[in-house]
Amino acid sequence: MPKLYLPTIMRPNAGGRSTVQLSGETVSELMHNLVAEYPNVKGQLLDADGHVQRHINVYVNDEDIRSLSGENTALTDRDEIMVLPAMAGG
Amino acid sequence: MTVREQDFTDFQLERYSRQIRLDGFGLEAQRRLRSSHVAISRGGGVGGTIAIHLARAGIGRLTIAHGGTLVPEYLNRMPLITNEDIGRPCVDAFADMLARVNPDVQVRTVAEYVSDDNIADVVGDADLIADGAPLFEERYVMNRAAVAMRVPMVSGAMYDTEGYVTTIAPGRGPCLACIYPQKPAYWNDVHIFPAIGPGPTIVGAMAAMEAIKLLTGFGEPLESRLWFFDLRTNTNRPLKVLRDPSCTVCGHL
Repeated sequence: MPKLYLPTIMRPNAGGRSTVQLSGETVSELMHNLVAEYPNVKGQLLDADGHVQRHINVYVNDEDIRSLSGENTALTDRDEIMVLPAMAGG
Repeated sequence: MTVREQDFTDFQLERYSRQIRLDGFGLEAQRRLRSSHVAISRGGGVGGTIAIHLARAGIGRLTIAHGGTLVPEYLNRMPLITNEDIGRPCVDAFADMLARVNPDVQVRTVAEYVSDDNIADVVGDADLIADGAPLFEERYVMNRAAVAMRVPMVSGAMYDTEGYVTTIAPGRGPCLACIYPQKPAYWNDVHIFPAIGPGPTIVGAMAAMEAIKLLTGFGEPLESRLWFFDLRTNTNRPLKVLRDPSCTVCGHL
């Protein structure tokens, strides 16, 4: 199953885990499976239409999904996905 | 221009000798640093680390914009202050520390946070902008200035034990608004982010190295890459970031 890295800000809502392995044939499916597993992540991750919020970038094997097929980007079991919200701490 | 040892004092040659010995650095890079001006938004954990490394490396001029006075919670991460500075205007303490670190550096301070009203004064004739502000609004102001002036910007940010650094080359790679077109709705206060010293220090040190590379031509800059780390999990990734052709800030370049 694809391996998903969760940012520190979401971990309290995901059982404290920094990575999870979940099924998902696309990025969108993986995100919704994450929410199904950890419902409290939903408000941090998805907008009202069920899409990844705009301040969050998603990378598949270090590539921004905007350069791939967006949330429709296909995944394989070996893929590593990172969810990174914008941050501004200084 | 041919740079000779006589262009530097004996003391300067010795204090910079370790970096002058770096393959590809030499006296020419040292001269370029000395003739460069960097404008930094805030002198805190990230910005202060950028400033202190640039001062140690022999930058010519620094401008630092930072408002307010120093409070105890700054002490866990800001390299330009000590206990004795609590209650002082931030920029006064920053200038004093930098003068002790390297009195050859010309430091100009602006006792305000960056805004649309003062950005022209803060940036002035800077060869490079360094962005270490804790609010997106300030970061976007610096980003717009970098794009408008066509000068590079090094952007470093952190949250908790995570951090990133990227180098913005207007017209060649993504600007900050391409990477993050929208800020998180919850990020409305400087107290939003938890921090422990090594996080912002790593971000600032990496950003300072990026500035040195861009100003001297040494090494390879992080253009179109966002170098991300998480110190909790030892995650470290050079993520690819890309231009947004419809970006309202740099899409016209």
